[in-house]
Amino acid sequence: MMGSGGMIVMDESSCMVDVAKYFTTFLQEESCGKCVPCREGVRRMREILEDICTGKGKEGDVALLEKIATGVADGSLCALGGSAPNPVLSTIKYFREEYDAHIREHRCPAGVCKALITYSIDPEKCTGCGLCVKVCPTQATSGEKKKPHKIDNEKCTRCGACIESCKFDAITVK
Amino acid sequence: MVNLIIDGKNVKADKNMMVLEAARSAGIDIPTLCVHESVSRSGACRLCVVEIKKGSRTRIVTSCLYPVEEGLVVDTKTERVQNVRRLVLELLLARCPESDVLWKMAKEMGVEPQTRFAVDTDKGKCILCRSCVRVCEEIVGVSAIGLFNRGSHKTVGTPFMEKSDVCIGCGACVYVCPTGHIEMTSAGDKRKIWGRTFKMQACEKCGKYFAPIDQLKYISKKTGTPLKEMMICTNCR
Repeated sequence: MMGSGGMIVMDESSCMVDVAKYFTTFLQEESCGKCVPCREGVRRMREILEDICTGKGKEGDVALLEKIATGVADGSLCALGGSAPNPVLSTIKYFREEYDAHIREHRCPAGVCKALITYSIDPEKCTGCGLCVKVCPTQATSGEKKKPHKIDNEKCTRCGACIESCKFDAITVK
Repeated sequence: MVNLIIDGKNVKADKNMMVLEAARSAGIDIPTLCVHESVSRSGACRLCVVEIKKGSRTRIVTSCLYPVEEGLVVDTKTERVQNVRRLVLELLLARCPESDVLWKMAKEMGVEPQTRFAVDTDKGKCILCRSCVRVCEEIVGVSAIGLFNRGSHKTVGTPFMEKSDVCIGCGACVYVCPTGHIEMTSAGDKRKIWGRTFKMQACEKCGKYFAPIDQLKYISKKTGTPLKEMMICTNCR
């Protein structure tokens, strides 16, 4: 997918749109900027992926990404531009349903894209230990001791500190 | 002379020619932006791409930089070629929406601007073809301007965007710029370019301001011609 010869193992907790965005951002920085398809095309692909990850994706974006990707691969001057669309093309090829979930349902199946997810506390698992209240940097978690806590999604920045601190796996991402 | 086939036509071309010249000599039009007769080629704009066939393999190459070969089969209008050209124009229109040259070219090729792209407002008309940098280095020989940063942050200008001491105000960069991005204004005996104001020399015969004094001094130093002999404009000489 990246052409570096390395191998990255990912599970269902990696969002493939986010992964494509990550590599495209890297490639945008690495582009020398001499030829138009690589300099402008990779930048536009990243902008569209950014939109998809923040819930601003539009119907037809996947087809447009494929169109830009083939043009960039064919038209670029060197091998960087020639292989820059690979992360986009291969994630679309194997994980198209993840793109569709982001664009149509505004849902990130892997629970990675912060603009598309909400945190909630399972009242049956929560023991009211108060650890999540202590670690939350924005005071979004609250509740009395020994009673199930709650998360205010207006204040929550989805930083994940509460998930890491919870010993009872009571915090779920949707 | 070598023989090659362009769009099904048998074309005879000089062995030092590029595919672009060979095609144009046969009346086949290939659009270009960064090609200029005065400067070396760089293949930056990617508009002149064509598909070449060698054996059973095809490849996309820039015709401005690909030398002609005996028996080469070239296609200038395949779907793959058109897709690259359309994409390049869509990308450039989103970058330089004020460029009338690009709009005209898009109209001729039937390309509509891609509405999904957020239009840039800070790039002017510059497509970063590097023609101005090349002319300043290769023809004028002062290298007053260059390209900075890389990728999407790339810009053209004088070092640190400050007034250049080596610029002679000749305006060659304005002349080769395909989109008219570089601003040069002249009023009376003053010429403004790249943030610097140059004093112009008036022709001793007709009185017309014809060149910056700095440029005449530079030419005098380079050619050994006394400065006094260059105070007359080319029309009166």
